[in-house]
Amino acid sequence: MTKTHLTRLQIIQAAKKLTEEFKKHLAECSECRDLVHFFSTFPVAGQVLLSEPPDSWTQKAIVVGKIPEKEGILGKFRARVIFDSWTTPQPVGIRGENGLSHRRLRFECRDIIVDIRAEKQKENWLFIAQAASDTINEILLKLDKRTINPDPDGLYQWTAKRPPKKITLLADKNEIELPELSWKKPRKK
Amino acid sequence: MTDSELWQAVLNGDEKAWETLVRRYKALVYTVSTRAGLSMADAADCFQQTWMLTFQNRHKIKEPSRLSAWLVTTAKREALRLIRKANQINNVPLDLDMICDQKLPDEELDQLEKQAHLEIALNDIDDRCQRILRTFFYSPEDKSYEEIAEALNISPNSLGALRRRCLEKLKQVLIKNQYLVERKDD
Repeated sequence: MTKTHLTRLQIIQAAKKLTEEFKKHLAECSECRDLVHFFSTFPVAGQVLLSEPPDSWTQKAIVVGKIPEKEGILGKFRARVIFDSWTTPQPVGIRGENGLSHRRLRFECRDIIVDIRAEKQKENWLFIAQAASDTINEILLKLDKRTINPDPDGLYQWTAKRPPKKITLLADKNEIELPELSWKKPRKK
Repeated sequence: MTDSELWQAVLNGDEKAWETLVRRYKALVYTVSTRAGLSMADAADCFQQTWMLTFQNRHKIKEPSRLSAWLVTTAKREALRLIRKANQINNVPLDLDMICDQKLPDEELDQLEKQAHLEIALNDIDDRCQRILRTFFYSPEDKSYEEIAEALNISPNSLGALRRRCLEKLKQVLIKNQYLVERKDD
């Protein structure tokens, strides 16, 4: 004859509260007793609480442990543009090319805010940048092939014939890449 | 391998051990990140930064058997940092204690951690036992014992003893991993 066992629902209920009926059954059934005891220790058995991250997230987390420390880089992040004067409509009254010889940009990544002001001079572009963060003290600015240290006022200044293709921040062993921007002047509509 | 063994391997520079740990706890970190009510972009940042901080601080973790608690705490802190930042941008006054209590209560985080432990232990026992226990743990609540036996294609007469043995195996893994304290009457 088949021995009667508690259903799954009864086991969950018994793990929460032992009624006389459950006590009677468990006194005679060690198999159900074991399971009830387990469910009272691990009430999560039987619940689906966790969900899986996208694969790309997992791969990025795995990479964290693969970057050799001797390179000094622990992680790579990508900043986003939160302000670009060239894509923002100019105030009424300002028009023509004047606005295009200057460009103001603001990038954001984690708690780092980077402001860059670019000014077209006769032959060169003059760049003045500032990086602010509550948690990171030292931020270096890496251009295509050179690294810029901040001056005593915390400003990064440089001139170049052409705007840099790639700007990267080195902040506390993290590399933060600023998105590449087009420096072609937007066409008038 | 237990978390402590894996952690020792990570400290020795074993990349594979790190990958195993990430795969072990990715669902836990992801669930904490997403339950905090962050945008997907911020949740991705929270997830990545949790692993980053864990790796950066790996020499500071003194009790690797409590690694899951470390991950949960780090993910929670990161989530709150991002919530604070988002609210500052939007000029919303906020009460972090209230956010903690509402979105990530400790009791719920504890349950998430326990489920992660249970999943790790289930994956560490043989396939047959996994199947039996998963059926008991996750089948619809109203399924009778006989229906479960039929679904598993096992005689109801032998299922009870089998289930008991499998549960014992699971408990041993949980104890070995220090997810469960061995009791004298177990």
